[in-house]
Amino acid sequence: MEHTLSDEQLMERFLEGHASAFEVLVNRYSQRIFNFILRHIGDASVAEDLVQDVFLRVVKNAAGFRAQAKFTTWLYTIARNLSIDALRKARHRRHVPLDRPLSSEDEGGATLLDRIADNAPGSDVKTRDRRFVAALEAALREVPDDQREVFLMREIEGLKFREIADILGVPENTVKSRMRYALEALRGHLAAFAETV
Amino acid sequence: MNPTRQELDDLLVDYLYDELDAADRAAFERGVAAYPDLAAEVEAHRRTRSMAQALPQVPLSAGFIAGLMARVEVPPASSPAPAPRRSTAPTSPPGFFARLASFFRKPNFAMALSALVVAGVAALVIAKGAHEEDEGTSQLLREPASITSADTPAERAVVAPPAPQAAVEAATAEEAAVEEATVEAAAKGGEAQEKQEEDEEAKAAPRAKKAAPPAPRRGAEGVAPPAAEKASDDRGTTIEALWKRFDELVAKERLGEAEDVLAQLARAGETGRVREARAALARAAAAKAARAQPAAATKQGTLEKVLDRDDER
Repeated sequence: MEHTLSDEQLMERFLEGHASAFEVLVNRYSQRIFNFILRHIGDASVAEDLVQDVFLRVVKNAAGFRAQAKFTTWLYTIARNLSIDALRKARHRRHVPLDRPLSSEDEGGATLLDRIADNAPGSDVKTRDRRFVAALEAALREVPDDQREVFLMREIEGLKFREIADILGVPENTVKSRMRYALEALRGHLAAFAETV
Repeated sequence: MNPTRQELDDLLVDYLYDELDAADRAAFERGVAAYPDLAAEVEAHRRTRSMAQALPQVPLSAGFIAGLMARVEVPPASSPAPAPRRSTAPTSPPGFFARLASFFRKPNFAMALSALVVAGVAALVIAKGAHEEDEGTSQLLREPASITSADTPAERAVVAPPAPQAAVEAATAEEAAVEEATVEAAAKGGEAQEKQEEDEEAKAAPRAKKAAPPAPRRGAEGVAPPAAEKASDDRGTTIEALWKRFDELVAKERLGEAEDVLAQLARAGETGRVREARAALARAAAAKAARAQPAAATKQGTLEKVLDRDDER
């Protein structure tokens, strides 16, 4: 039954003491938040830690949530802030290609591409050109931070421009401009693959 | 009317991401047909978006959610209100030691304790002074003016004697009150200040007793005396008190002090009774001397025997 509830209703139930409601929220958003943070900072291990921090911060500040307009806006605001902090602290760990180990502790171990392939049986990843995916990751890393976060929120996370504007605290037209610049930047980096896609 | 190029530029991103309503979308599609470069840009962005769809979703580690949920502290089930999410408040009132500990953490504790210590020291000083006065010749009988508001020397002398005993009692009560106040204050925290005030009142009470005139005897009969009559009654009461004091001193064979009291009574005009009292005092002195004589004689006899033995040797 809880799976049919809205995010806000689930938070209400969590505040009433229902842990299962919060678990639904975690199941609903943890994967998306993880990928958002991962694309931001490039280190899967750090990204997982930050996803934990995001949800624990949600728990910590749950009592004040009712003043929030929308749960996802709040959630991504926390995720973005933690990502920016992590980037500032460990800027050098940002550029982690998919074919590199998942984290600094996994030297010689599994890569992001391995994890994708292993956990997505039957997906297009198995048949897709791994070189293209690596190029796409590299192209995304070349996009300026402010444009990349808008691109990730809209293109990958599916947030509306209005919502992204609320998260970033900038006008909606600014968000749209950044989105257009991000698309142009990616197009330039992926020009070599344009004919094959 | 078709939109301008600028308007089409402004709508491009909304169009790509389906954030235009049907009318605006139709208007955009009609308008972009007039600008081939813009149409090419729209197509290029679509391809880029298509490529971006290839960006894979990286899965979380196995057991991540279980690990996260293990760290989540769930709010109390019975609290619909969001305010206190962790119920740490005890359901029963705090015990004595908890209240004691909480009191010691209060900032007014030091102030209250300091005041109590000062009050205790003052009480001991008063008690000591009163004890010394009671033991020796009655200092207050001779120099009572400094602690009384009575008008005449006789009255000053009369109202003074009860003071030492009252002071001793007050001091004793005050010491007990200090101890009691300390415990009470520790237990009740904020009541310490009140207790201190009570101690102050207890200390002030003997002084008030000294300063205040003794209760008029006629008052006990239910008749309120006029002012002049009241003064006469006060004087009579003090004289009676002096006589009582005299009797006590004679009974204790503190005859010197009794003589002092008689002198004051004589100055107060009690000449007739004083004369009789002097006779009685003389008899008491003779009796005391008679009791002391055999002992002296015995002592003398013993001395003579010792001297005789020495002579014989």
